[in-house]
Amino acid sequence: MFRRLNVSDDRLELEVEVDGIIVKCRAGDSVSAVVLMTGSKPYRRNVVSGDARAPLCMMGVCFECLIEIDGLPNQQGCLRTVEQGMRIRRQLKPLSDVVSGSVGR
Amino acid sequence: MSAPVDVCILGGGPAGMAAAVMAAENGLSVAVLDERQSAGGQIFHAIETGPFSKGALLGPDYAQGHSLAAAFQAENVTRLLGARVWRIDMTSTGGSARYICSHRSSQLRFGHLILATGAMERPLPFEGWTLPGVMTVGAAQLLLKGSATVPDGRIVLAGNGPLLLLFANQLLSQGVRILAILDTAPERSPLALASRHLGALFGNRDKVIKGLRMQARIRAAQIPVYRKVSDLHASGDGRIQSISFRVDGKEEYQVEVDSLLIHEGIVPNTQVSRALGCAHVWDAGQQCLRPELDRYGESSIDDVFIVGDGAALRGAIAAPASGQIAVGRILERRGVASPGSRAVVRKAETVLARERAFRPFLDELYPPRLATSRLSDETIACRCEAVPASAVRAAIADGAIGPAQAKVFSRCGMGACQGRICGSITAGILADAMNRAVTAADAPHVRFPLKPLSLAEMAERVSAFDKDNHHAA
Repeated sequence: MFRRLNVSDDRLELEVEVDGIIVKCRAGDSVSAVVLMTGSKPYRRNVVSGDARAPLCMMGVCFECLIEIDGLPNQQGCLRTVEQGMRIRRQLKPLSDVVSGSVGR
Repeated sequence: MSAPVDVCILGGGPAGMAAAVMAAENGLSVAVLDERQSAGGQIFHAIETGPFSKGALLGPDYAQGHSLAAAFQAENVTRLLGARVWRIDMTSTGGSARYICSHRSSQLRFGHLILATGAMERPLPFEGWTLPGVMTVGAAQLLLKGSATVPDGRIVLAGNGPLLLLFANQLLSQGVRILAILDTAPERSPLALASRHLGALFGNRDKVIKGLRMQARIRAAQIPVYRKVSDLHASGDGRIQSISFRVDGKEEYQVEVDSLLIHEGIVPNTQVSRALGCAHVWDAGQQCLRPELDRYGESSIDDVFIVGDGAALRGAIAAPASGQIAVGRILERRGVASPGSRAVVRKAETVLARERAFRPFLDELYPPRLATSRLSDETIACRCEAVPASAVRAAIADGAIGPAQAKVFSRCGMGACQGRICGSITAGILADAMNRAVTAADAPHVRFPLKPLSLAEMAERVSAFDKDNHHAA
């Protein structure tokens, strides 16, 4: 539940994919910011408990922002800025699925 | 392997940028590595190209980052941005840093190392703090600075400290409504406190005036402020829906919220200095672990300097000064100091002394209260491994006498954050269970790699290393 602030923003507009849906954003936006602005689905699930989680620190410390970027899982979304055409996928599967190998598609 | 540099700086915030500028100005070769893709650190995040990089919409303090960033851009410095440093080795003649940049593994050799890795927000656990919708104030501010993004709906700020006041002001300036502020500081008399720090306050009267202005702005906006708040809980199904708290240890309140932003000050980020094995001390005044340094910022390991808020909490004005003092020492050691560089160091020492003098006042004005109160058994201590405080206590009851055993017994600290968040929380649980104060020995050991890396990334490193060695042979 985050929103874009209504400020004059002349940064380059670009598009990324979040879970297969095209999302408009701006160059310099963090991956985490863009995902946080897209709806009420959990940002991720904890692999141990399965609980919904979201970024806590946004500065590379807490690892609650882990997300799949361009096919690579467990990237720190708060430290990465968006790039045109980037494919972002939330990691919502519990540990049991990860262990049985069904996460890698 | 790239050519060796004289000075390797970890962190492109104010301390790292100022150190880089001074080293380059004095003819040293310099590389700055930062895990973000732009310089500025957290305080000047996105200062160069962000949504607030033009003008002073976020206030004069943020705008001050422009001149530092411009000087940094102008110097001949190797900027390795988006670089994930995962290992550092020190030798008798310097050291080497291994890092991953754009999925490629590299190694950088250097003569001197300056750690400018800054501070992180003090971990602040309570029941429900893992729910989406709970975030630190600093995190929300980084979303604002970097992505012009703000929480939606009913926003509550809880904790205390200058950053909380500043962010509340920045939200108000942007027309964002705040439902309430929960001040967790204990009862204290600002006047009595001020009378004990008169000299420091006079020397830093600009900051005092700024603080009073920020408080006045919050009052003028008629935001309800609850004082002496304790027993904060967040609850909700899949995300935060409500919070409860007590005022003055008595009256209990329940409020429906969409976003809870928490903050009780910052602590040095000691992950790299601990992995290197630098000596650390527990700072009782600032309630945090910090590296043991000499007056130039050099650690117990030769040629490893630590500057900025990663050295001790002194703020963004002191940070560049401490960076310059460390570089001054390096110039002296290499025999290339000049009257000009010595003048910079003298000025930096004056700035640092003034800033340092102000901290005891701030530390007393904003003591961590939630972060140091006893956790309920149900509170999650280790977010990554979802370990509740009760499990850490059970480990202690089973005979764990230190952080390493508590980790092995309970998995607290074994997750992706590598103890960055839960380290100080576990230390608090250990000290509480043993009925004593926290000490430096309660901090868990940090081992390389500093950041998780894939086997592919490590394998690439190994093959590249083999190739290097093959060429050398």
